[in-house]
Amino acid sequence: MHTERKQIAAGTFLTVIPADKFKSNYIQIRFVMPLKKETAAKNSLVFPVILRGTEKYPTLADIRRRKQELYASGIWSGHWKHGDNHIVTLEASSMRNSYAIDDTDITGGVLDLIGQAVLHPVTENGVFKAESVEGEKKIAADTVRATINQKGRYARLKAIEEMFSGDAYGISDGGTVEEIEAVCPKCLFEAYKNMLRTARIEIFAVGDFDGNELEKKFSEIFSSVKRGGIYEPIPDTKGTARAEIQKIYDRQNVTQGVLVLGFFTGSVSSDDDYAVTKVFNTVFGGSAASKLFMNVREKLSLCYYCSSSLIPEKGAMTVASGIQFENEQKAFDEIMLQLDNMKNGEITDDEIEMAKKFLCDDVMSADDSVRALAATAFGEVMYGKRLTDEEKIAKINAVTKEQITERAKAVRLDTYYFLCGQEESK
Amino acid sequence: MSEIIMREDKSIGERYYYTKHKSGLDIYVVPKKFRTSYALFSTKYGAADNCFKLEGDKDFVKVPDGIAHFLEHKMFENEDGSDTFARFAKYGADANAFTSSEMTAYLFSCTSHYDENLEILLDYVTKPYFTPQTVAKEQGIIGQEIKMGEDNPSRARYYNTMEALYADSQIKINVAGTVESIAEITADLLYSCYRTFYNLSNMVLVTSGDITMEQVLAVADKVLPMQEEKKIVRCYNSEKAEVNKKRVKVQMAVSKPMFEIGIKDIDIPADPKERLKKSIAGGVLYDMLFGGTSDFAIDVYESGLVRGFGAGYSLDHVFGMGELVGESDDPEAVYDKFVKYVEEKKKTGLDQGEFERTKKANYASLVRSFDSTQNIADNITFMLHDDIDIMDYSKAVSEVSFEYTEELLRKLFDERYYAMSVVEPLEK
Repeated sequence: MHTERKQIAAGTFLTVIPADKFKSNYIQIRFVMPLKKETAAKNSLVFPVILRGTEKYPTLADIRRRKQELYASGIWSGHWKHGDNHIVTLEASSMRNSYAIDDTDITGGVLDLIGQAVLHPVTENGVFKAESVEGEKKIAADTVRATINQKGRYARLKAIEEMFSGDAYGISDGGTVEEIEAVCPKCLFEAYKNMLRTARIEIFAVGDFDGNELEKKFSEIFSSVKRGGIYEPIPDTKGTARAEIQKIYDRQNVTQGVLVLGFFTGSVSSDDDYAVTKVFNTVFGGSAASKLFMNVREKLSLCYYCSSSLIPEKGAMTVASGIQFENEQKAFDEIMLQLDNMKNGEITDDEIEMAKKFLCDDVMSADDSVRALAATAFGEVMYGKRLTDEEKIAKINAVTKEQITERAKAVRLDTYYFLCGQEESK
Repeated sequence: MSEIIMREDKSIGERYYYTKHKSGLDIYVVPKKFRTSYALFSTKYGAADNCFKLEGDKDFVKVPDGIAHFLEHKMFENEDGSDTFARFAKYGADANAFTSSEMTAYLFSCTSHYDENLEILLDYVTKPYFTPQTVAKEQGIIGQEIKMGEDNPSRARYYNTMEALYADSQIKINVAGTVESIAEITADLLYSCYRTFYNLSNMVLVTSGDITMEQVLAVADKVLPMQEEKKIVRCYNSEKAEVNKKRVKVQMAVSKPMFEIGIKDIDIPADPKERLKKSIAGGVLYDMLFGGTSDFAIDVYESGLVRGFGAGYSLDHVFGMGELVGESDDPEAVYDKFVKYVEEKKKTGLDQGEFERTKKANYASLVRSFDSTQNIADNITFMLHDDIDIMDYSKAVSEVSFEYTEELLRKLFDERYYAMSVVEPLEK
């Protein structure tokens, strides 16, 4: 596979990833901006509002009918945080032209829709239509409020917000309800203009594309945009643990408790030896063969799930488990005991071997998903490092037990968060 | 050696190889040049199968709710004390399993050591090992899985819809059971369910990746025991056409009311070809009425009446239903709008152009489902459990007629078949 990243306008790059094994084509435009409280809500709202109407397809119904004509192509927008960066995407996924049962040019149609969304939103008095803005604000605010509906996800989000209170990463990437409600058509239009002018723009196209054709099309789109003061993304920032562990009890009407522990690992994804942290995490709680799964779930049957996951760009790790309220202490003790065991070098060769295989499988399987291919390519851009799959695997396999033990010793608990019933632990 | 049959669908450029293994197991292999190989080994046995016997037996056996799912968990333990997840992990495979109302399935995906991983899969699923101690341990873990489900409003909404639609059907049994029902499960009961439903003639292996049938057969020959075919008699409760309850409501910690309108359909064609036709036409009809481009979906989106609106129709050999889901401050207004809208459509009829566009979209989603070895094997399995061959699918889509779909519009929608479940926020 040969990928190529080309600059097509100031701070705007196109990476074409040829992959003919898929029956779909996938395009992802990432607008990378600083993660800030003042802009998170606005940035996230720009494309949902635009996808309600463009000059050529003025209503939501027009856009949806057009997508349907293009064999139900998808065009949507997303937003998330990557370390201290705010990423807003415009994405499109469609069936390849060669499978069309008529002469529809699906790819051409999708590119045209993307051009419409980037450059030609419907406006009213020079700004977005108030009706569209109010409609999307309501949906966005409801989405934030609905976080509570999924208890496990809610708990992890809350714990991370508390862990990073006072840090950019503690900011909600879609904004808070208050921040969303404060958005007006004029200020949203300014945010849109600002995004087009200052964001670092990374475009990824995965599938069966004519590279030259794509380059021409995207150059056309972005050459008409005035660019300046372009943001330089921050790859990652190493957080450090609080002097004293912060303990939070979040009381809600739930029947099961969710314990989330936030740790700092002392290492970030740009570190040359970050593979050590990955192996450490996988042995600890990153798979169904991990210490946490085997002990907290299988041996003590305290829970259905207990797992750890990394936040590589912030040098952090979280552990989450759904448990009975009264087992809070027991579960916490067992999680910390497993960590202590790792600090003491109680790690078997089998455990290390399984973790390495698990991570190598991850590296290899990324090739089978258009989204994973785009994400991998973005990582290469952010860290300015491009490794082949073989090189990545070699790094994983080179990790030693001593390194894992040393890494375990560097891990510090920072935040203890428990989602529990109204009466617990008062 | 058994005959290997190749079937293909040239329009989508896909094929599979099939054989009936001498053990009695049906095996399907879909070669794909992906790095990830995936295998799904499943039995036609789920939460709804709580009353059954073998042909020739006098009495039906009735088992506690949640036992199929419990059995799935227990299959991961082995007599030599080894852990199945760890066995797979040695070869870098990602293993899992799931249980639904009508199926239990065991799976792995891997990017290397396919033969070894397939051997583990076929081995552990054909070797049950249950003791009173391991059963007791699992009651704790699944108890927490059930509790997690109790805090999940989407799940509550779904089961309440089932409760509203069905009076007796086993389709409404909670897959995980209840803390009380799983307390009745014993090692002996597990063995009895296992011997009935895990007979290889009641199972199917579907696998996809950069692999060959010969490779799969070599492993199957080595591991699978020869088995006599068993004929299972399932006792499914009959249902009236009308719904059981018009409304089921519950209060939970949610931000705004979540609703699900269920549309009951007990008319299930016995002939698989007819069923496939009805299921495709029903899907197309629901897309036309409630899909992204429908007047209904655009109206509830633009007016802000519903957040996260979705709709669909499903039909298999055991049950059929349609559903509309979303969140709304006023679920009754959504319900009224739905009833009026459908009555209006029944009068005006469907649009031919929209019908053709929707069929094209349906075809595209079939084509694109072949972009992952997991999707491929999952879809083929779901269809096989319903006696449908995926290689007949795109042709069946093209053959579904406008007239038949309009006829379905008049048959499927009637107030007697509608019910709604609502999860309301807790009172402050």
